[in-house]
Amino acid sequence: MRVYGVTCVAVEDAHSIRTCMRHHERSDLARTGVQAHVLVPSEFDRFVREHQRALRGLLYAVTGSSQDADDLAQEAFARAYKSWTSVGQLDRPDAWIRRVGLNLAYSRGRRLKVELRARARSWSSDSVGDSTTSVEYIGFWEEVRRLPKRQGQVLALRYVEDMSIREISALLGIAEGTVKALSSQARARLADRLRRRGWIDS
Amino acid sequence: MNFDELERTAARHMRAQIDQAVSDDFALAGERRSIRSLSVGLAIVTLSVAMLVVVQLTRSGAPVVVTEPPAADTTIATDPSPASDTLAAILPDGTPITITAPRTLMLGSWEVRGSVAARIDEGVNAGCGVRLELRPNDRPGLPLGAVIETFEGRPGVQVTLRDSLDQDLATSFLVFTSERWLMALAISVGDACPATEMTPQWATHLSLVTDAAGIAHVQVDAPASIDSRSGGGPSIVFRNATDQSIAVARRSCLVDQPLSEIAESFIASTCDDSGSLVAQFRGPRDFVENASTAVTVSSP
Repeated sequence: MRVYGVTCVAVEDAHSIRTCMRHHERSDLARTGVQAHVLVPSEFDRFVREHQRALRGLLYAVTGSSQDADDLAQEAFARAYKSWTSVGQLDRPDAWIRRVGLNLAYSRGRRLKVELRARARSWSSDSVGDSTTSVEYIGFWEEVRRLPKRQGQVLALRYVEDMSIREISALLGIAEGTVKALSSQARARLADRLRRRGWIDS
Repeated sequence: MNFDELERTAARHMRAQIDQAVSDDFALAGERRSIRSLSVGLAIVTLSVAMLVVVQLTRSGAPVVVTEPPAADTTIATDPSPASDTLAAILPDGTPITITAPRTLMLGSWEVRGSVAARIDEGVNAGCGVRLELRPNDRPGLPLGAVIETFEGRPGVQVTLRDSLDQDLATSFLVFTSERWLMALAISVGDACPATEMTPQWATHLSLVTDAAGIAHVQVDAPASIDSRSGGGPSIVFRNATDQSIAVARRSCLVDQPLSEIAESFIASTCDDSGSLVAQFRGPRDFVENASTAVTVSSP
């Protein structure tokens, strides 16, 4: 048995209250016994709308899974939300959210390695373009994901977001020289591995 | 192909793949479904989420109860309905069960605090447990968290979401742009209620071994038909025969919800390539041994 009754309470947005109530009238699922008190910080909403897609794209690149990317993005935004009074004051909260997302992704590294094996089977069906060539691209990104954390982060930001050394430096909070070194090391390691797989010329 | 060339094309390929994967899987899908909500912003979406919170009281199938504490390495095969079916097993109309409105439940701001009170009239679910689950609507096999409180057949039970569950909620699954992430709060009543006959949905094999340190090692061989990519995976319910306290472990092989975040008693888990779930259950020896007296393994 379900008990009807939902209350919409938004502390900052009267329009949201009205929308909430309209939705309540429409929603069958709302016919529950829950009172939902909704707190809506509009500035944070804008932040999420503007940056969620880019963040999810970046995390998709480093995890190889849209589901993981979604999970991680949700978690990163959740952390931003909880600390919004300080995060929202940063010059580049978008850099903060990317850094958090990347760190979350790599903190799951050990688990992801296990998952990658299983996921590899599904990659071909997700790939874009010519299948033969896609295998090399997929393999390329597999190798990127196997790089050490910082190296992988630097390359992901460079490849996916086309960030400059300076931008990556600011985002990750490390010196530009370090970014250059990490990038160079990462590319050298990547090239070596790809060469061994026979995907690039010796 | 040289490295520079492969690097450039692989980067382009990834950006194209992101356009495809991210758009199709989340944003555009959400926009198609929630264009109106999106048009007025995230706030409205989150409000929608709150409105779509599902509180359901169900009385589901019970596990097969093994009355005798099994010896080490005893195999227990038992199986209630999958969670989704459990939700379909709504209590018959007129069943005197009421969920009173929680005082401080906040959804949409992605925090759940305080308590959800489930008042269960006497005689309806006596002896059954109460289970709270939070999960995305489209991934019923992936609970966000679960907490079990002892019910012991008392009406008017107050089920409190723990701080740890709050944390899980606040950091794991929030709703920003798509209905995909709408959370469902489901309160299942009677999941551990014995003596209810249910047709097993699938057979499974569970073995439990208590080691010298008093840690029970539970292994569930999940059927091959479980699609772990979709977040599927077995779930286990331990029920202590002594005090009726219950701990629930649910996890999928690929989408890993650390068991320690679900129930403190679960200290480790691994998932091997075959899809088996291995969990360790820690507790006093007598609890661990009793925990095996009622084990539920269900598909997601």
